[in-house]
Amino acid sequence: MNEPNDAELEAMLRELAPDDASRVLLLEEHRQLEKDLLRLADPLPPPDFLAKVMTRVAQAPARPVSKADVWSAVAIVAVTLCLAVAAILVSGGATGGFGLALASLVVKLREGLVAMGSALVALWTTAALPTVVALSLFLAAALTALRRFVQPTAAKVVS
Amino acid sequence: MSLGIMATEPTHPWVDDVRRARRGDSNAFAALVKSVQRQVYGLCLRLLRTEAEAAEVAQETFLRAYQNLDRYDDARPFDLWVLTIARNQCLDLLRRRQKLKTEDVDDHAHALQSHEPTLEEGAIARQERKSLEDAMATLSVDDREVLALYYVQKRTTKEIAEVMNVAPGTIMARLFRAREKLRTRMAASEEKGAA
Repeated sequence: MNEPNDAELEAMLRELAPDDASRVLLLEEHRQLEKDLLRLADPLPPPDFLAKVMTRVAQAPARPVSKADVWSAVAIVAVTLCLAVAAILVSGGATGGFGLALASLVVKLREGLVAMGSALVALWTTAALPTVVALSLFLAAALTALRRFVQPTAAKVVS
Repeated sequence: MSLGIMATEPTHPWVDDVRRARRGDSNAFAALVKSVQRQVYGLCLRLLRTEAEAAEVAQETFLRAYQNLDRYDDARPFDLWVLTIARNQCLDLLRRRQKLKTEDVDDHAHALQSHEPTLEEGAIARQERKSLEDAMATLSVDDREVLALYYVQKRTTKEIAEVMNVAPGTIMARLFRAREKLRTRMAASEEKGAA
């Protein structure tokens, strides 16, 4: 029984049962009522309830982007910007110097691509079949790894 | 390695399922629904008083829970979080339809009795329980809610306060007031029956 334990309850009791005898009677009736109330139970949902919920969940649009994702994106952009500013400062602090460095990088990149193309042509003419087999194996392994990453097994999560 | 995993082992039963559900594991979310569907549907039925509406709102509740799983605080009990969503959904519906004062009691009483387990039937006489349910159905939404959460779902006053978004210290007074109204209604219906 929830005995009245504060001023509000005490005031209600005083109003409902001004004398001791009526108060005892009232509290006893509340006790009986509580006994009956405690015997009530929640009804079971319809048998197809879970199936309907899961159907609605499956049809629901993708969850909105979480705050964590937004903050991750902001952090990545901020770090990238900081690195860019640092690169400018390291190259002499002037935008002209940075432009020269960028042009030099493009030239070097072009030379690297030409060299890589030559290497691939040489590889193809000397060992085409082993190259194809190796690349296929690499691609299959990468796809398998990606699939496992996207769909984590229950064992992985629970462990 | 395993010690590290054990150190971060979740203490609450729902934490693993919530984590898996967040990653898109529908089985994990189904497990979460199973664990609280009876409480959610029961609360919806006591507040809305029709089976169809209760089922609809309870389904909508779980859909909202799924869509907002990222906002759920793992430290808070999952069942209370979902019950709070269910309560808000029910109150929104009641407000929209302005049914607070023009509700039909009979449908609700029948709906609640038809799903009671057999063990419960043995515990309390059918007629007594019917009059109790009937009287309870005539109470206001707030009174029905506090009685259902405390006596039917056996929640603590702290949990009820969390679901209802009120101060814990007010729950005992609310319970007493709801019980008193219930007692008065039951006494009136007994007098009517005797006359």
